[in-house]
Amino acid sequence: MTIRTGILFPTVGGLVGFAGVYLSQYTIPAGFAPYLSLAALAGLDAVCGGVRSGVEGKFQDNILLTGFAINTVLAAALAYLGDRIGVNLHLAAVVLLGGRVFTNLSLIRRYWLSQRQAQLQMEKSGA
Amino acid sequence: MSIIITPSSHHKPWLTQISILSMIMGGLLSLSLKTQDRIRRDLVGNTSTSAMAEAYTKQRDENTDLRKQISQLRSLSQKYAELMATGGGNSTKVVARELQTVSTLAGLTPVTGPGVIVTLRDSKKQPEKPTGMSDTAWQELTPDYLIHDANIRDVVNELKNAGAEAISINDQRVVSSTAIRCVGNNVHVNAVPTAGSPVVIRAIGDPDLIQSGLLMRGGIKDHFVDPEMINVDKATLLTLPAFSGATPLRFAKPAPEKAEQTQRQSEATEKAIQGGTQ
Repeated sequence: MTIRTGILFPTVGGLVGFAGVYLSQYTIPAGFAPYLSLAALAGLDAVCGGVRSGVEGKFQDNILLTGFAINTVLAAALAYLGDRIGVNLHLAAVVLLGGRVFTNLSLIRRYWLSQRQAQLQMEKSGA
Repeated sequence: MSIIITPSSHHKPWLTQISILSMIMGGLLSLSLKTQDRIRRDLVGNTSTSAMAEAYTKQRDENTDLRKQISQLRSLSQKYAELMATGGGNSTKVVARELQTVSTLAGLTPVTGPGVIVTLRDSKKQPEKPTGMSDTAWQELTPDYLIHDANIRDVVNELKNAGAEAISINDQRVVSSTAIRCVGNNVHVNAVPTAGSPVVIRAIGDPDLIQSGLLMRGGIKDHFVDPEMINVDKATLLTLPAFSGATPLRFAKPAPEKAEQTQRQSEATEKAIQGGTQ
């Protein structure tokens, strides 16, 4: 069985970031909480998208970085705008970002499965 | 089965970047989580009965302290006024005496004198509650047997009409800003909760005049279903406490004398016009 350390790096990074902030005393005012949640979701989407493009071999660092920075801010800003004009744009952001996270995760899974299958077949034919 | 850990060094450039991003994302997630947790905890804490009871007690104690502070400051200012009256020249003496009269009129000083004590009680003759009816429903059906804020207001009005010079309800002095309100099963006077029943109203004034004013035929006593609900006793010496609340004037200002003059003038011209038409 082969364990690729590849995916371990982002996982550990995420855990480190999570623990680092979780152990600190810092929280934000309740008024900003919904926007922060959206920003976090956008961050998750960016990371999944990055991993997907990485495993597909189409990774471009400028796209990832700008995507991450702009999407987090944009999601929060759109939700804020929606609150101001009385349209629940939270939902739009949640549906879109959530859907993309699922798509990206399923693509990553497929890629790995097919890779694994190819490996197994290679081993068989080699034997 | 062997476990091979591949360093996958050829992936490195994108992995490090994603790892950093992932760290930021983890931070955002946990910050969001913590904030939501705190919001939930705050909400629960604010609505739980124990927290509310605690907040109530705290607020009540604070109010009591502040009231004490007000009365202390007021007695201090009175002391100064007295000092001014004894120590100053003629003009200051006049001013100090005037101040004393005005604050007595306003109810800011304790006063003594003859008067009456009016006691209002919930009636004991309330009809028996039929079985299978809740207490509150029965009380709503027979409201006349209980003392309400309206009864107290009527009595106070009648006392003033009969020439009472100072009035207190359950040791809360009635002043020009006093409100008498029912809150729950309690009567708030000057926004201070006082005992519900019996309500003791003390008034300083001519005892005979006030008593006859209250007990006259067709008067306030006849408004009660049960005449035992109101009891009027004459007293030779009563002491009423000073008003213990704050007396801020935020909106009302003494009108300038000029305005008074113009008003008088306009009234005079009105009279002149009326006189002309007649």
